[in-house]
Order: sequence, then C-alpha cells, then structure tokens
Amino acid sequence: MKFIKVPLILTLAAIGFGSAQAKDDIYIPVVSKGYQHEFWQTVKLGSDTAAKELGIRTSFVGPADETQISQQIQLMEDMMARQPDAILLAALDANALVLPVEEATSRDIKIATFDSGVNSDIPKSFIATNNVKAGGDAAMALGKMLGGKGKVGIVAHVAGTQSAIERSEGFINAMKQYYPEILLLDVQYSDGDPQKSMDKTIDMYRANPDLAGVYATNEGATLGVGNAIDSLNLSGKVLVMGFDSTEGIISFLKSGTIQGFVVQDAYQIGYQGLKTLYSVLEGKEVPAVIDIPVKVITASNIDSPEMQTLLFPFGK
Amino acid sequence: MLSNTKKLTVKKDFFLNKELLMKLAPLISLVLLMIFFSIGTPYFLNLSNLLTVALQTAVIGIMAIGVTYVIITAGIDLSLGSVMAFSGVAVGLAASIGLPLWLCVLAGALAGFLCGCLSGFLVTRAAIPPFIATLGLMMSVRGINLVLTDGRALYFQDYPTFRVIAQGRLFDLIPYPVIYFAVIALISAYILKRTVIGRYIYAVGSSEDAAHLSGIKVNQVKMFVYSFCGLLTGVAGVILTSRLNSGQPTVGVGYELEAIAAVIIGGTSLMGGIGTIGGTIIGALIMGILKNGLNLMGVSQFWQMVAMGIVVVAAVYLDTLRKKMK
Repeated sequence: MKFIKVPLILTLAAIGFGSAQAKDDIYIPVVSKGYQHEFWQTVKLGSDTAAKELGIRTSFVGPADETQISQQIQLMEDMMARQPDAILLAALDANALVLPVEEATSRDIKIATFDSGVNSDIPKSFIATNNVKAGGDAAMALGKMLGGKGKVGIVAHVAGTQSAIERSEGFINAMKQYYPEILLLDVQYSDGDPQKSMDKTIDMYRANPDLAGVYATNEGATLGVGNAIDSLNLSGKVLVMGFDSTEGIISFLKSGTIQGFVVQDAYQIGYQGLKTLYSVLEGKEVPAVIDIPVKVITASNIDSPEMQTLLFPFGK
Repeated sequence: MLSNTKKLTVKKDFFLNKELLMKLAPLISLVLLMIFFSIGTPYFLNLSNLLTVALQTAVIGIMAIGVTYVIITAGIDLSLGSVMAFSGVAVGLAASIGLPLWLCVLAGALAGFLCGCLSGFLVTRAAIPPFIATLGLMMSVRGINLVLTDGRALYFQDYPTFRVIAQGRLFDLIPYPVIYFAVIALISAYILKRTVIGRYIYAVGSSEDAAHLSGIKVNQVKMFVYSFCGLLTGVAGVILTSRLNSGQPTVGVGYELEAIAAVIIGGTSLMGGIGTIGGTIIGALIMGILKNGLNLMGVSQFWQMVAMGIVVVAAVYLDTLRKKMK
C-alpha cells in the first residue's frame, strides 16, 4: 500500500494545488440535527438559496435521527476535512458538540449555530426562533380575537422542556401586560400527545363552561385541542391558537375549529444562518443572537402568497 | 501429451490465483476504495483525514473485534449498541457519586463485561438461541439505560481530564483511540491464532458436536467469547463516552449491525468456523472510509445508505463464490 500511496499523494497534491488555485471560492457546509423531516429540508432550502445568492458553495448533512450524537460529531469531522471557511451547526447536545467546535476554531474555521446552540462562547452567532416572542405573538393574536376578555387555558407539550417553558411564559407575560382582563388558567401538560391533550381540554371545559379560548404549544397539543373543540361542537365559541403547521392543523383552521396557529420560519433560519456566517467571513460584526420571527397564520391571511410559501415551501 | 499437461497446470495456477484473489478481496477492495476517493476528492488523501477515519473507525472496530469471536463460534450478539450505551451510563453514574476517574473507567468496562457474561449465561445455561438472547438483552439494557438516567445525558464537569481518553493525541498526532484499537487488535489476533482457547473457538464454530466429542468444553468456550465481546464493547463504550464527553443513554442504536457488517465484509462466515481479526479490521476500515469518502465527495446521505447496503451484500456474495470454488 505504501508504494501506491507515494505517487498518489504526488498526483493529488498536484490536482489539489491546481484546483485550489483555480477556485478560490468560499465553502460553508451546514451540519443539521436531521435531514429527513420537512423542517430540516426547509432550512436547507433557505441555506441553499442564500448560498446561490452569495455565489458560494454549501452542502447540507445531518445524522439519521436526533439521538445519533456521535454520528453528528463524525459529520463535523468530515466537513472539517473538506477545509471549509465556516460551518453552520445545529447541535444535538449542547455539551458533546463543544469539542468539535473547539477543533474547528483551532483550524480557523468559523462557527455559527442555529436552532440549538452549544455551551461555548466560540460560535459567532445563534440563529433561531425566539420561543418567548413566539408565545407573545400568539397571546397578542388571541387576546385581540377575544376582545381582551374571558378565560383562557394553556395546553403545553412536555413539562420541563425548554421550548414548552418559553412558549408558555412568553404567552402568559404578554397576556398579563397587554390584556390584563383575561383570566389565565393553570398550564396543563399533554406530553405533546393528541389524545392526552384532547382529554385535558375536555376536562378544562367541564370545569370552566365559560372558557373563551385555548392556547396549545406544539403540533400534538394543537391537534388534541382541535379534536376536543370539534367533538364538543364548540367551534367558534371557544377560540383556539395553535403552534406548528401540519395538514391536520391547516384543515382545522379552514373548517373554523381553530382560529390561528404559529409557524416557525425554517426557511429564514437557514437563509439568515448562511448570510450571517458570510458576514463573519467578510470581517463584519454580527449580533450574538438573531431571532427569527414567527408568523401567526389566521383564516384571513392563510391564502396570501407569503403564508402559502411559508406553509408549503415545496409546493402542494 | 506434453501440451496437455501444460494446459492442466496453467489451469490449476489460474484457479489458485483466483482463490488467492478471493481471499484478498477485502484488502483489494479497501485499496481500490482508497484510490477511488483519492481521485474523487482532494480532501481524502492526507494524514489528517486518514487519522480522522482511523479515529472514527476505532469505536466500531473494537466492538467488531469482539463480535468476530462470537460469530466464529456461529453465534451472534445484537446487544452491542445498547451495552456500549450502558457502559457510558455506568461511567456517568460512577462519576456522579464522585469515584476517582480510573474507577469510573473501570466501571464502564466492567458494565460491558457483565452484560457479556449475562449473554453467555443465557446462551449456554439457559440454551436460548443467541439471536433471541441478545435481542432481548438489546431491548432490556436500552430500557435500563433510560431508567437509570431518566432519559437524560450525564455530564462530567468534575472530571476535566476524562475527555483526554478519546480526545488526546500521541505526539500531538495519533488519536489515542487509534492506539487502543491497534493494541486490542494485536492481542485479539494473538489469542485467536496462537492460543488453545483460540483454536477451540474455531473448533466450536466448525462443528459443535465434533468439538464436544473431542473433549472441548463447548459451554466454557462460548462463555468466554460472549464475555470477551462484552468487555470490548465496554471499552468501546468508555471511549465513545469520552468522545461525547457525556454518558448518553440513547447512543449507539444500530451500532451492532454496523459492527456485524464490518465482520462480514472482512470475510468471516456467519455459519461459524471461518474468520480473522485482520479481515474484520479491513471490514471496519472499508465501512469507515466509505462513509468518510462519500461525505467528503458531498454524496447525499440517502445514497450513502444505499451504498452501504450494496457493500454488505457484495461482500457476502464474494464469500459464497469463494465457498463454491472449494
């Protein structure tokens, strides 16, 4: 094997040298938390578009599922071997990914994180949905629909998770500030399970027949609340604000079972992520945290072209 | 007459060569693969990347060495992925009660060893087919990992030196896991080729009845291979834990199949009796290089999975061809 290697190294050095001289372009790969789900594919659409606009190269990789931390570390190593200028990373584990991030720094590769960060000061920027603000947006929309009065319940997903806490607190704080007359019930947790969420909503209504509105904090919770409202024939009497978008949730909105839902802008997360890293390479100062605003979809704006591209980034 | 004999010998030579070719097939594939990627991407053939491949291969490779022993006895171990996570959890739990670092590491290796002993016990004393026994263990151990940790990762804030086990480099160049891999490979190859127990392992795999009749304590041999495999899995688990700098209860799903695939690609027969450690290492390197090279070339991950599957099937096809010729 040694005999083969020597000439090979020489030819490759020549090829490598030649190509490095010819194409002095910038390369920023994206290491994601996954690649199969629509959310990640939409992030990819955003980062690909940004790369095309900037005239730089990118690629998109991610582990097979969200437990494969060591696979993600390997992907980081493989991407570093391609000698990129920067890497955009969504960390599966905030601590485990610190090591490859440090390694990247020692090779002078710039890092920014999106969606999920790492416990380190190295990344130049963190680009993600601000869940507190998203909860606040949901509160503003629901409060307005209710005319600032009535009892509102909250069906959150998994107790103790960061996103559930932030989405609920953002909602509660905004309601207290802008619609102080609205009475908020205690937060119920559904584990994001549509069945549990449906049961909790029905119980909530039995205990509070004057219930005016419900806020659900993720896809499963929203589906469950929608089902409960539908089965109790309360469409339009109890107003529902959901979170995340699926075909089921969209059809609930169209049938008037729910009045609105919050969508994260995955496209913008990828798009802004790549543009931010490019700015870093240009030597510009970038904000340490970039909030990607969410959109509240309601019956009145769902058919607008902007919302349609947000809901169906790949077409219907 | 004369020309006839000549023809015959030529034919025989040709056959011998073909057989030799088949035997060397994994090694040739490895070299071809390296040439292919060297031409395909400018980032592949440099020391830094080749060491990265070796580092990435070390964890799977160490497990694959262990399971080579098991497969040579015509057994199988499907619990590897769960057991290696269990080893990481054991390290984490030992750390959380404040044991010294060397004891935490020992706890990790021991956790793997104990799981291996349990597999061995189930296969020998309880006479449960290895596939079922280790499948059961794979599920239960994964569950135990989650029970012990409440589904959350364990971290090692108080042990800043722990990460050196996998992150450190000899002479600032060779990653430590590559050295462990090499040392374990040498010891394991020696045991298999040069010791009595090694020869017994082949004998049990070739024919259990014949081995039994010739006075080999078949159950003891099996107990040895499963506990040895468990121990190596425990060691691999400790390395992975150091690499992740955390004990992750859900890590390693599907690792057993990757390790088994490496063993098969390396020419070990699932029917038992045939196989070498060298072959397994080549198999593990083929898998590692394939993944690294395809990533470097920017091939979509969907196609990477297709490529992996084809390599495994092709390797087994070569194996059947080899048998037919005999």
